[in-house]
Amino acid sequence: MNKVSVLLTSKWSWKLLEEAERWGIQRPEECLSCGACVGACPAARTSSYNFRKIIRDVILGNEEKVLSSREIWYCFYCFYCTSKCPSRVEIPYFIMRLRRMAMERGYGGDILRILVYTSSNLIEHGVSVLPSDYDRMNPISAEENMVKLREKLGLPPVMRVSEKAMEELRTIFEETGFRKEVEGIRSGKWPFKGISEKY
Amino acid sequence: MSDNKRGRIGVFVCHCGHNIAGVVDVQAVIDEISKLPDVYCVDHVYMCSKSGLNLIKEKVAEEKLDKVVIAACTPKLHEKLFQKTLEEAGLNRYLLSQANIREQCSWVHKANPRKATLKAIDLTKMAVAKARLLQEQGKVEVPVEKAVLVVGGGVAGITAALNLADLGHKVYLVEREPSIGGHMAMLDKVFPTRDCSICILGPLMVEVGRHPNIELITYAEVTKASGWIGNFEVEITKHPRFIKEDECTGCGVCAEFCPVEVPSEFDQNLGTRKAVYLPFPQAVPLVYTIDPEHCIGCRACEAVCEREAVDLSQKEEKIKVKVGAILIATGYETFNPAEKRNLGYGVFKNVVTALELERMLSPSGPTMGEVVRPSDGVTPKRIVFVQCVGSRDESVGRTYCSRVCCTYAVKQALELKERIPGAEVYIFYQDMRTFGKGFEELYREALRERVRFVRGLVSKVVEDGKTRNLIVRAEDTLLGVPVEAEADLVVLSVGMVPSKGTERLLFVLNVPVSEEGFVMEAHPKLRPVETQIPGIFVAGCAQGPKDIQDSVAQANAAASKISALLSRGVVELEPYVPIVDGEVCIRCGLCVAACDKDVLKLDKERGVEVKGVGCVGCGACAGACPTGAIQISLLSDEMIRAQIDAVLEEKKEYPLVVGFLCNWCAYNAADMAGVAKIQYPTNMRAIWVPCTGRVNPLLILEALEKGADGVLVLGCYPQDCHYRTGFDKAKRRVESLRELLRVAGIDPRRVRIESMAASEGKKLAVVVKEFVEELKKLPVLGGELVRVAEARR
Repeated sequence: MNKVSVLLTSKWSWKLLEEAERWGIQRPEECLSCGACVGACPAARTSSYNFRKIIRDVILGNEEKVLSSREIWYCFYCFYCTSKCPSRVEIPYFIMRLRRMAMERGYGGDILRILVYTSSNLIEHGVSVLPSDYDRMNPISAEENMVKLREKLGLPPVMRVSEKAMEELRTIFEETGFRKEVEGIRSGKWPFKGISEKY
Repeated sequence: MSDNKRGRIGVFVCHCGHNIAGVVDVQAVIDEISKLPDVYCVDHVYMCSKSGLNLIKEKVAEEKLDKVVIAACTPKLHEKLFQKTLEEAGLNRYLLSQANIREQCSWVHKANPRKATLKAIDLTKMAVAKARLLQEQGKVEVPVEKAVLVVGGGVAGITAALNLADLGHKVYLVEREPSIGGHMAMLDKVFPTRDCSICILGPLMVEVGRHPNIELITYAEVTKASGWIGNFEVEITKHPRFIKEDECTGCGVCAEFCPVEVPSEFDQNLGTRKAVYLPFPQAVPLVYTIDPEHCIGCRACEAVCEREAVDLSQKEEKIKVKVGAILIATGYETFNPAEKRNLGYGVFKNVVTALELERMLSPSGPTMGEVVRPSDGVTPKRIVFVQCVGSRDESVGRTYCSRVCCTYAVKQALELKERIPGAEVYIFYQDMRTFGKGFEELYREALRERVRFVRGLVSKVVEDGKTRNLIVRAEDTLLGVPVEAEADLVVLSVGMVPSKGTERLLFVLNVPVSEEGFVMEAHPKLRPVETQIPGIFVAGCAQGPKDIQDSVAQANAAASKISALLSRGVVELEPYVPIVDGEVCIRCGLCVAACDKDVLKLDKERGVEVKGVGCVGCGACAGACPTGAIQISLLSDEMIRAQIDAVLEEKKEYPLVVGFLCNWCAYNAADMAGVAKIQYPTNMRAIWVPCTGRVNPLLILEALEKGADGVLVLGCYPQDCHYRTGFDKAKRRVESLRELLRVAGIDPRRVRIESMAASEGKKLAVVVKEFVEELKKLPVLGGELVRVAEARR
């Protein structure tokens, strides 16, 4: 817990809001702290993710606190928050930008490692979670697992995506720079540091 | 009219469908009441229906009735309707008496029809007994003086004065300061539109100065007032300004040559003025004033004034006016933040009030519109607003919200953002209350302009001795962390408090004030511009904190109310005059002391006399009188006694309770219990009183003596008393009476006084139930009385 008073005026920064503005993300500064977003948020129910508090810190200029937090990585873009926001703040888009800025400052590495793994699967196989991943995370039983089951049923070890679909995916990954980005992360392009829970 | 005691009384019992007849045996009531002498009794399913009202009118004619008793719902519902019906039947409307057998009987005693019927009979008998004593009351009509006094020349007073003058009424506008304009003239811009304040007020001020129907009396105060609605006599004391108002052209040469420089009150002491001065360039009247406190008597002004307007021999002047109505528009003062020592105002130079900032923002202000730090004249870059200074703060005795500070802080923040490039503005607040039309939009604009709002009341402001910068400490309650902000300038959003002028004026006019010191309205919702004194009205911040929009709206409302009064030409007064029997009066003066309205005067020769028509009919005088010499026409001792007798000549319940229910709270609470169908014991027989202050303790004793087992006096909470002190008086009297009873050997638990709000039907039911239970536990009163009699022997 942060026990020391935060000196608001010593580190004035509009950087986070300026970034939002640059990317055309609507109205984050109009947040009234009503909490409707948090009430609606599925992630907030099971974690310390609280967008209302994040935006308070954004507005007060507590840049490092926001960007180094684990919580900005908990959103999974369901957009329920934005649909409930009386100020119509585009929360998920803002979270996307905050993550990007966090990465640039070296935060988020441990979470990104998981994302890079699933992204690599997607690039290679066209699916993000492989049957063996299910078995690791959530095995059917001690004896039975997905890989064995597929074998028994005469299915290939990995779900098959048609060549036509793979072709489309490859085009998308190339054009958007997704493949390059994932590779960059994998090859250590980003100077990741640790992150911690702040909220 | 003189003696209607023997008049024939018509009693009309209403079934109210099943509402009454479903519980009360109406036929039994009629049978019982018909046995009374000189009474004609009849029933109807719905007495308030057209056919019911026609029945009343028919029977008044057929049966030659002189007075009417209606046993039905609460008089609060249809009294006016039945009064009108009496008038249509050719009877005086005050010859009506009502028995409340629905709200206070059938609805609350559903489980016990037999007892409810007995109670209904008693209540009707009481109404008949009271009716026998009712007398015709003439309409008291007095002519209205076709002029109005407006006290206070702020935006409310200006608006009302112009409005009334345009309607053709003569207006005396009295202002304490050398110029009209009030606080609004000091403001730079006004929310929510952020238009220039003096630009919209200035033309109105000029119009006031020019209007043929307005007599503007500035630098003056109301010092005496007497009379009543339609006929007030007011004395205005005009201070000498030592400049002839008719001669001065406002050229200002005098001030140029005046050698004395003093802080300018108008500029909140941030700038200076001379000892001969015009408070601000747009002043109306455009006349200079010599401030005697600072003038050194060098007479330089006299020497340079070409028009010879300077007159140092001027004396205080008394002006007497006669008016039909008075409007109080004396505005407010800002809270003195030095009372909040933790904020450093008056100690740290760079802590200023919002009004001081406003003067700095004004292009004609002491800094010509430049915002600077008072300590070094440097433009501040980091500005912190502290909200709720003197508002919502019990520690300084100000519990109310001042309603304007949130929005003015937002406005000032936007102004600072615009005028100081790169300025960082923080607003520390408890709640943002930007409630008016266009206010929330202004708040949003400030959010967009990146004014930083921090939810948390400021706990302390400390100064850095070297830089004179300030550290503001608070909690960000939305994050739950303590925070500090370093500021170049701290602005205190001071709240509104009643002005000292208001205080003095209210004393002179005898107008009731609320706990906070603002004028109390006749009714907070339905009569917002009338005071509790007929003919005296209120508008603007004298009534309570409000913004310019609301002040103007209220001023217009007051003007239309006043205009209606003046245009009618005559005013009908309620027949509220106390009647004194000089033969019986022992000149003790207790009634004079009991009267808050100062309408009574003790003359050692002639006894107590009624001075004027300020009486509001509370009856505190009659409640205090030891001999019954003073009576109020609304409810005489005799009427109360007759009701007690009617109940006790044949006691129908044990224990039997006589209740005195105050018109404003307890009587309504009893009706509320009825509406909510809250059941309670049938034992109480209620006597309506205008105020518990009316209840003379001798009548309580009489009730006990005649056989009542207990007496309940039920009134308002002390702070809610319609007459301010009525309940307190009743409470003191009942306490003393209880002590007396104890000494006399009668259990003091037989008499109880309780407070309740008009909405507390539940409380009324509980009080009656508990009281009856307690009385049941006591031995019968007869035993006590016998012992008292024996002891006496």
